[in-house]
Amino acid sequence: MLFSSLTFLYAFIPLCFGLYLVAKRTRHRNYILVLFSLVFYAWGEPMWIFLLLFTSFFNYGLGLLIGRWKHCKPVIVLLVLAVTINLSLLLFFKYGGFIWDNLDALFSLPFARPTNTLPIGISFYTFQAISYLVDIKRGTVEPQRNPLYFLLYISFFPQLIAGPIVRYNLVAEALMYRKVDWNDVAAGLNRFCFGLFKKVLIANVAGKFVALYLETNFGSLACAEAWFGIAMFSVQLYFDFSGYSDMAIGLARMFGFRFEENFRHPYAAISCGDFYRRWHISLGNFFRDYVYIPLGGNRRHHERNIFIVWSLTGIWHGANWNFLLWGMYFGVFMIIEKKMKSVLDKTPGIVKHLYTLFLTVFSWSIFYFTDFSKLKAFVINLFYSKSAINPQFFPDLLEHTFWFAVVIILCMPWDEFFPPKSRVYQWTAKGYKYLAPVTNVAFLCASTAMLVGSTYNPFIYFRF
Amino acid sequence: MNKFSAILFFTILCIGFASYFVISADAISSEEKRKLSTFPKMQWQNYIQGHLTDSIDNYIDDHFPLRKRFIDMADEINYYKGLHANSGEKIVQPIVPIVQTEPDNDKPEDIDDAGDVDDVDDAGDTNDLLATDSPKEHKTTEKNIVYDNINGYFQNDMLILNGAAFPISGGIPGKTKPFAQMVNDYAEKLAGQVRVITAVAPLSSAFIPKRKYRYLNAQNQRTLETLHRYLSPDVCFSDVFAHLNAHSTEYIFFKTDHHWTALGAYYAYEAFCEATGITPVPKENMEKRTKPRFLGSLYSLTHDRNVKRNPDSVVYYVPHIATTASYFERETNQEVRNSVFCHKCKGYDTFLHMDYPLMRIKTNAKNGKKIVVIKDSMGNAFVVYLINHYEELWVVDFRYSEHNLMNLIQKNNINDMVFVVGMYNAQSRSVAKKMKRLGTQNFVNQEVNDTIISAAPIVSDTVPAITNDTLNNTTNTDTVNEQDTIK
Repeated sequence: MLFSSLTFLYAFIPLCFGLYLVAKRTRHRNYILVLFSLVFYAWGEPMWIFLLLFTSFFNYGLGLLIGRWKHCKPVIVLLVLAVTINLSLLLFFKYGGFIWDNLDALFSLPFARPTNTLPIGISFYTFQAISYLVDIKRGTVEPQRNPLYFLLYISFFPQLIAGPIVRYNLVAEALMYRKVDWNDVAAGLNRFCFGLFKKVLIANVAGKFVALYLETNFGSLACAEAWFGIAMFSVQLYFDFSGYSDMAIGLARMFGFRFEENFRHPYAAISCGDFYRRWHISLGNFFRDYVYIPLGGNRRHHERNIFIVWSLTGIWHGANWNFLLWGMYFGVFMIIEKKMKSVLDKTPGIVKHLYTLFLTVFSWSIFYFTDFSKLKAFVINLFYSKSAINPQFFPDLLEHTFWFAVVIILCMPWDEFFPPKSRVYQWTAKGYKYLAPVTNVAFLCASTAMLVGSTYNPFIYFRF
Repeated sequence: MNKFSAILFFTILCIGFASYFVISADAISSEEKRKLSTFPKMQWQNYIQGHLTDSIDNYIDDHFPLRKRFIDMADEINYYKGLHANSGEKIVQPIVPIVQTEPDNDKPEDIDDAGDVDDVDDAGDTNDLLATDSPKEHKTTEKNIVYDNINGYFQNDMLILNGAAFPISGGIPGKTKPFAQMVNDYAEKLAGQVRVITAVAPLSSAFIPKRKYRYLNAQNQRTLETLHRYLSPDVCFSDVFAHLNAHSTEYIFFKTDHHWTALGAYYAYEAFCEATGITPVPKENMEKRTKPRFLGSLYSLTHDRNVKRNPDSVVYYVPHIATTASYFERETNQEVRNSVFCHKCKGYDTFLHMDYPLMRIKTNAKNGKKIVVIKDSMGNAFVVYLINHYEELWVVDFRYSEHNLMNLIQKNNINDMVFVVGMYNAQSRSVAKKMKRLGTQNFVNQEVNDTIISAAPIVSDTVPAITNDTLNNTTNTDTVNEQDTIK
């Protein structure tokens, strides 16, 4: 099920939250959330829910074992084994087809290609499980004793299918005891509505441009149109992903859980390193804590570590070479930035910002095209084209003027311009408190209209 | 304030949820011309395959409370996303419609050869002047092909000029050959027995009232002239284009629909009369009726605000001649009484109600002349004028008919046969094949076929008693008993 579906908005939430309010004790509330999370997952994945259940109970048991023997040295073997099994599942289900394709090209494999579909959310919940086990071994968290509570941690529907990757220490206390008041609910709702708005009214609209300008014959695109297309993909990707994170954070808050921020205005970044700290923060933190620092961080083999982390970040996004290339692209630029630190320090902020924005937007073309021949054609099209601009291009831009303005405003780091202590911030916060009921309902209605509007499908045939 | 905000929001969500159970949802959407999805069967197997939840999602999408209002609201939101040049002229991309075949009629084997599919698909061939007009490619799969000239409309961009929608295409002259060949074959086979006539409608693009688009007028003309050249001398070619072009500033095509108006069809009828040597009945001798506010297919495909603000009115002319009409049900082939005009229908359905596979109209012209009309929906507005001149008319919709055309011609002693289609259909190889097959195909139930076609005239000037059963079987019960006898 998707957050931005009418089923979720007008059936799942009222039922789930209604029951949640009726139940008063945390234990009962947890059971309700587990039940609804499983329904949420099973709605889209009738079969893979068993994989989710297996991952949950397997890691629950291992968590207990590791917790009991965490002071004994040999427990490291158990941990390595557990992490290996988790990663193997991920490798098999997510990368099986990709690995097979490449091996088959080299050795022509005697067995058939795995044909499974990707279990939704496996990249997220596998990482959550791994972080849980490692943290127990490190002694930063205590193992969860109640299997259903642990199942809730793994399968909690707000974060289940598109993150953020929630670390156990963040929610450990809330799982056992939490208080939900109307302030939390309202704050969560505001966040949820804003996320819904970003997803439905920004990302989906940008998606139409993407389909128009990137799913086309590149010879017919003028350079400006190609750049516009990839810029629209940048908008779509950011608003889609961050809108989803906003909705997840908002929903969790409504139920009394606090998640960390996952995006912090990434397009305001002034270097690739800065971009990494602003984009998909929960994934970045995961790799930082479980790969980068164990490898030596910035003390030993710094450049190698950056490169490895970025490569992993790249391939995490999808089972294809282009994602790896995308990761390595950023890795290389981060290393270059490190080498040229003295030059960068003297460069004015606006130049650094433009340089990063250019690199980022360009990088999305590597991210978008899984087919290298298409990527090549597109990159050529970005810089060289004989085609004239389609006469429809400018009227199209004109018809989206206000929309572009909103996109640009939402990409700006307003909370960095006006930090929470500033007067502007406080006035805005005060005003928003009274404005929120109106904006929430407006966002909901507009999103509903757009979602219903997208179901408008004129039938080509004239008779039924 | 926070509590109020949260409660307000959840109340709205809950009202939305509750209304699923209260609001009785429509089974069909008249604007989208499609069936809305139905609630799925709760079966385990269904669920395991992932169909169940998808179907429930679709059901909720299709039956959402106040759906039409929300769709209109989405149009408004889209409109206010930016500024609009005030020229009254813009190019839009049609909303890509669902393409489906009729479940009962277009048997998969009828839609053969991948080559066929291409025909309808590449309405913007490289030879075409307009090749670059279509940045978006639409892949119509074999199963999706439909024999309706609306097909061509969503492949190219559309022009919206002062609230009227036009296709930006003028046809591809060379592509009319298979159609012409097919007509020639019929003419040859029926030589000396049946006169074969064509009346192919140009696209409304020929008459866009702006100099910039005059080239489309020339191209429409070229396409139809090429068709004329391909036709053998035995075939009567009605120069529909010339007659429409002489009245190009009149209201001959709908602004919101891809069909011609009754007036446009009247000029085509004049062309037909000229070609066949009969005298047309002046439209002043027919009764003029008007229906306001009609938003047709081109509005459905564009959902454009300006088009919506300029709805069409359906003006039509009812000949002063008594007729009795009936159609044959699709699956059962049962004969059901109806009428030539549907005065209660909206829009283009006024003519012949809808596209029936086979329709028979008897008139009291008493001249012994009989005609068979092979048509797509363009023919509907045209046929109504022919009742002035023929005693019996058989109207075959080539897309749906499974009756054997040759049988029909032989057993009913037909004198004339006319092809009335829109230009997109006249340049499609698959359409030509389908029309050719009309001559050889057999109705699923041959027995019924024979009975129908050779039946003694059931229809007389007096309306036979209609049983309740028959009434239940018709889709237009309100007009079933109506006789278009206007003195």
